[in-house]
Amino acid sequence: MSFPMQQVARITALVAGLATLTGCRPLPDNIAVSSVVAESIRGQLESGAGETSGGGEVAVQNPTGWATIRGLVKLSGQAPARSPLALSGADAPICSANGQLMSEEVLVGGNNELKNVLLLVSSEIRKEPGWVHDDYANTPPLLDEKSGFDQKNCVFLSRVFAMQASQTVRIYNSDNLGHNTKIAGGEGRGGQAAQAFNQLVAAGTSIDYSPGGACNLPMAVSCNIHPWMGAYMMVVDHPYFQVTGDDGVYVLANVPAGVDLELRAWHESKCSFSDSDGEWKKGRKLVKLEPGQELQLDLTVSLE
Amino acid sequence: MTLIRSPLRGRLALPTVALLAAALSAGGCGKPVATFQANLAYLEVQRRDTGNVADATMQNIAEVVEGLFGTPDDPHLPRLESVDCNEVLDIQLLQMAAGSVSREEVGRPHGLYREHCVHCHGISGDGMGPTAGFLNPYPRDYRAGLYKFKSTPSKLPPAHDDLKRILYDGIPGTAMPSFKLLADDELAALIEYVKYLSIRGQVERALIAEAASELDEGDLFVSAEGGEDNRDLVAEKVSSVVARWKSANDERMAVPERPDYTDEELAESVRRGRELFHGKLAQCSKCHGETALGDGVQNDYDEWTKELKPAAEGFRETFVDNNLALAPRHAIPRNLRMNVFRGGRRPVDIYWRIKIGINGSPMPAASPLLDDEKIWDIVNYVRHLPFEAASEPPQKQPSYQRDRL
Repeated sequence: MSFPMQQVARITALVAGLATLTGCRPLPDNIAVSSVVAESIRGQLESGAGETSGGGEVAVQNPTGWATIRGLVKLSGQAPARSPLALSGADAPICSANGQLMSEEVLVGGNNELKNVLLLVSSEIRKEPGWVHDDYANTPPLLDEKSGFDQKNCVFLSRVFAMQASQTVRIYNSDNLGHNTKIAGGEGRGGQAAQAFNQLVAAGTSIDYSPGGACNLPMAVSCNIHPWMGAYMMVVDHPYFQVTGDDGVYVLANVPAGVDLELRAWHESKCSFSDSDGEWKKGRKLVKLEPGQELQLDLTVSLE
Repeated sequence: MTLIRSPLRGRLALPTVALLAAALSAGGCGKPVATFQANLAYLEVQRRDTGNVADATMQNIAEVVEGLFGTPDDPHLPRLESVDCNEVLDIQLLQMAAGSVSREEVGRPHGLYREHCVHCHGISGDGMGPTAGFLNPYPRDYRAGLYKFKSTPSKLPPAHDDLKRILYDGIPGTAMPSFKLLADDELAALIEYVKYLSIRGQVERALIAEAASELDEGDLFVSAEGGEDNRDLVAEKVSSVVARWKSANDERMAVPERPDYTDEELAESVRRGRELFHGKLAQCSKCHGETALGDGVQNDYDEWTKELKPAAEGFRETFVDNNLALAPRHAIPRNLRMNVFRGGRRPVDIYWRIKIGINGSPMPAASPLLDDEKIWDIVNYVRHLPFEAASEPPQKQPSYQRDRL
């Protein structure tokens, strides 16, 4: 049986019309999963079988002493010019009373020293003797006054703020207008992640934030009343971290020697880090130090 | 002659119908097996902001998530040593809500989620069902585990009763209807299923984030063939998500009793509430506007949208054009003069919104300096606002309404 061409065209149009009428918004691509593979993975997870490389696969190492890592972080190439922030809302004139607010993403010194780079030990620091130096025994439980987290003229005074999971930070509002401080909350290890937070800090007052756990990466801090305000907060479950200041220098003092340490570098811009040995894969580098060693590890940052 | 009737008439009718059926089935309108949609939007976010996740790793994440939680037709609760999912989810209720819509003779329904929810909230709970694009506000995406209207501290998911209230009363001012007419066990089944989609979605997100920031490129969470992998991280992520849902039911915020006001006392409380509303301690008027018409901050986004960074270069091409997200909309503060309160209009509902904020939205929790008496004053003022003469203080049209004129 044959169809006249006209008939075929008509049916095609009808089918197309029907498909349109049923209104199927196209689904995005999906990932096809074989039920056999999923079953096999379920079996493995639920039987608790198999080896894991996440930790404990090698004989437990014990620190043999202390070492120090220090270095200078520099930006490669010209830093992008700081742009004026777009202020909006009724508070804008008050916020810019002391001058135009400028973006703070990339801040460099006279010789391209890069500010606000976070350096930390990202491998596990055990809660056992020999892993944390006595120098850190007197870590204050509350970060207040100068070591707190403050905002003035509608700018967070610490662009990148780092603290320990056991600490509480006092969030100040040194402005004569209200801010809300919103911390995104983070993904962490060991089931205890830094918690989300969003509270109003009335003019001239403060609120305490206890993260309750560490996070893998710095969490975004924002203020919804003044959407241009931004900062980052990092919570670490040991004392080996530092954020570079105006001089671009960091020091990780008295880290455990004789064990494998993973160092991580982070900056809010998408970028790559490299030292004299080459690029740090995903911003990370493995080191193992001798007791008493002073490792100089300078970093070059290339923005993407 | 109409286009529709003509091909079905006369001697061509039978082959035409056959051809039509063939064309339709080739076009994929048969009955496909229901599958969960991988969270490719969050994958793009992590690839952009954190670090690359290799395709092989993402494939592995999809397999692990299906291994842990099963499929839309056959949900599963992971039986891991470190965590007992039965403490937060009931598999029998889940099975009642899962699968395609059917009813056994004994009257036990199946497929309740697909009967009542899927057309808006989507098969994966991504808030992108077929009708989603037509609604304002968009349906909730459950996968981040973020819920607005709840009685628990902001760091925690909602309690069972919070979700029950939403299902029972609906959300005024939105497309979410009331499901009051469902039987109690059917409501319970839907609540379980929503929690299940959230827990599944949160574990999936946690694995994607973990892969982006912590794993080397191409590493797997669980290798089907055995060998080195990161399976202890999977158990850890499931435990931490489940633990938060578990503690939510125990940590509902106690509400101090609302004072029993005389008419004069209530009027006085409303007056104090008005002052607080405009004052520096509560700062309500910063976002809700001097007029309470919701005309303060107009250019913010909610959390679900914000992580996609709608202002970033290439946002539309990556997310909207690929159907990974609906077109972004600003989070407009509530117009409080409408007498429509999405989270409920009882005094206690408004107390919770002010005291603990609204998760996922810009609305923060109140300053601790705002004691309970002051919060009740604001509650009383907010409940009074729709009936207050709009000329006191003088009304101002929200900018998005002005633009339209």
